[in-house]
Amino acid sequence: MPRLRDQRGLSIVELMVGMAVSLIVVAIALLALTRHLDENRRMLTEARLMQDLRTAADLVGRNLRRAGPVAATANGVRYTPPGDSDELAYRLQDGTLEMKIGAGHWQAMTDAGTLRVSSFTVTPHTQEIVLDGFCSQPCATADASCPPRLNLRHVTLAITGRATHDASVSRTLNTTLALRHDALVGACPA
Amino acid sequence: MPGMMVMNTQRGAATVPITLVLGFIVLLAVSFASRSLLFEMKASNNQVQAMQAHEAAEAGLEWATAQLNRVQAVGDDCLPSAQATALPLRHRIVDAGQQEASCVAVEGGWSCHCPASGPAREVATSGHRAYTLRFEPADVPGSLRVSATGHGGLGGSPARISVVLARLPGLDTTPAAALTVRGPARFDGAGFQLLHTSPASGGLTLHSGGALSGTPPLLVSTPGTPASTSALSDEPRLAALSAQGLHASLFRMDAQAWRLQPTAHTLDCTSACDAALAQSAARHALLHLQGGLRLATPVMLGSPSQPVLLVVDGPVELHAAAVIHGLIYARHAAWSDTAGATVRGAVVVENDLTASGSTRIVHDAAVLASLRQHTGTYARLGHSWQDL
Repeated sequence: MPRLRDQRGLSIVELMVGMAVSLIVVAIALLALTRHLDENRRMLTEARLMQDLRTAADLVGRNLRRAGPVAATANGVRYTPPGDSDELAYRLQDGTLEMKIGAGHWQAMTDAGTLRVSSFTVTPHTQEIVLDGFCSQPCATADASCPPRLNLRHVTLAITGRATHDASVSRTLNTTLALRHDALVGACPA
Repeated sequence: MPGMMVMNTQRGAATVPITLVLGFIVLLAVSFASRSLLFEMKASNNQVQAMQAHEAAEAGLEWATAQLNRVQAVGDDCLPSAQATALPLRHRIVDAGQQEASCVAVEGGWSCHCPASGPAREVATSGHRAYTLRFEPADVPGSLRVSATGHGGLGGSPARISVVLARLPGLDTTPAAALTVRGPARFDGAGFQLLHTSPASGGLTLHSGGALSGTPPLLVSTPGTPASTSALSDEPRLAALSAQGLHASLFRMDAQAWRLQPTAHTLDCTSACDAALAQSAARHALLHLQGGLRLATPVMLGSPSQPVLLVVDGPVELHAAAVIHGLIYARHAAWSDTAGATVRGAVVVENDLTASGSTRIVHDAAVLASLRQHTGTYARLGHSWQDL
């Protein structure tokens, strides 16, 4: 075993070099950690924003898919489910997406504490198929409702949101939905 | 010292577990730090699964609609089958009690199972995109409610949707007479026979919107009914109909729309087309014949249980004692028969008729009812789509 008198300490130069290297390593590590934490916080904010947008778009899309007539409004959309006389609607109000749940009553769909919706647009599109071969009598010239027409409809839905706690985080979600209930308009001559 | 380990003999075996533990701790720390990324990946994956399941269910409804309008007989694998006992899927479902079908997406297409009875093959745990279909009678007579359950490729919740498919009949209105002519009818020769002997369907043998001329055909009506009273000529309501109106009143659509039905098959019969027509009639109930109907051999087209509907764009020339079960809708005036063919069902002529020869037309209400009940095109009933 080595004896005490055979042992040697570190010189001042060795200590200085060791400390310098250690400080550089610690500085780099702290810098990386700070950057990682910042990225992580931003990613969490983005993920939460996307999740909120996705949930809202899913809910709107699921209901619109089974809608009857759809009409875009200044700040949203209104529609009537088939076989139902009550009109339903979605609107953008003060940065919050809202759903109409009764006469004059609106329910918030997004949390203003985490998400500010800056834009909500629903654009209906219609493809018309003229059913002129299905009438046994020819249509009168002045009758605009003849022949009957089948309207195949789809809507494009766009929602843009901004994270409440970080205004630099903004995302837009676009989706196109085929409405499942085609509309038959017009009629054959009686 | 005996039994004691000397320091300079150690080889550092403890370093391995310590390194592994440290590595595991670092892995946990990295995973914890990346939890937001993992959460985002999970949420995206769920979104993909939900979308795949929904689209699979929609694909199932489209597949069911196409199969119900397909006239080919299929086996338990839902593929065309040449077996004598095989039936088209429409007959299997509507008449033979098949209730379920299922399909799995495999490389190159869908692998399906159409059991004659009982549940279809389980596909929820296949690990691929898949759907299961269930067929039930709907509230509207003659229609089917088809429910589809779609599965994404990597699990997740299934999507369930349903729709009612209603049948647009191949023949909407049954002709009341054995022979219906929108305009005047002229018969040359004494061999034409019109029979309608069933009191239940009225016993009308001839119904025309114009005058009759030439040699009167042999009319046989219900027992005790004078032949002359079984023919209704110069009938103003029939004469007032346009050609399209007559077509639409029988088929509920014009000729072009009728031809575009998925169940209607077009055949060129400009020259004698016996073999091709017999082959087509065995598979298709609705046939559009371009150029006319020309038969040179005594074929039998259709049967009492599986009649055919022939829309003929041209003259009818029969040179053999053929037997046709069903309805002939002739858009051309010329009808000649040199051999004595038989039509069991009815004949409708869209314009005038100039007939010669010895055709025997027997009004058969059962054949016409079978045409109404078993032919036509299935289509979605408006406002019947539901997500469950």
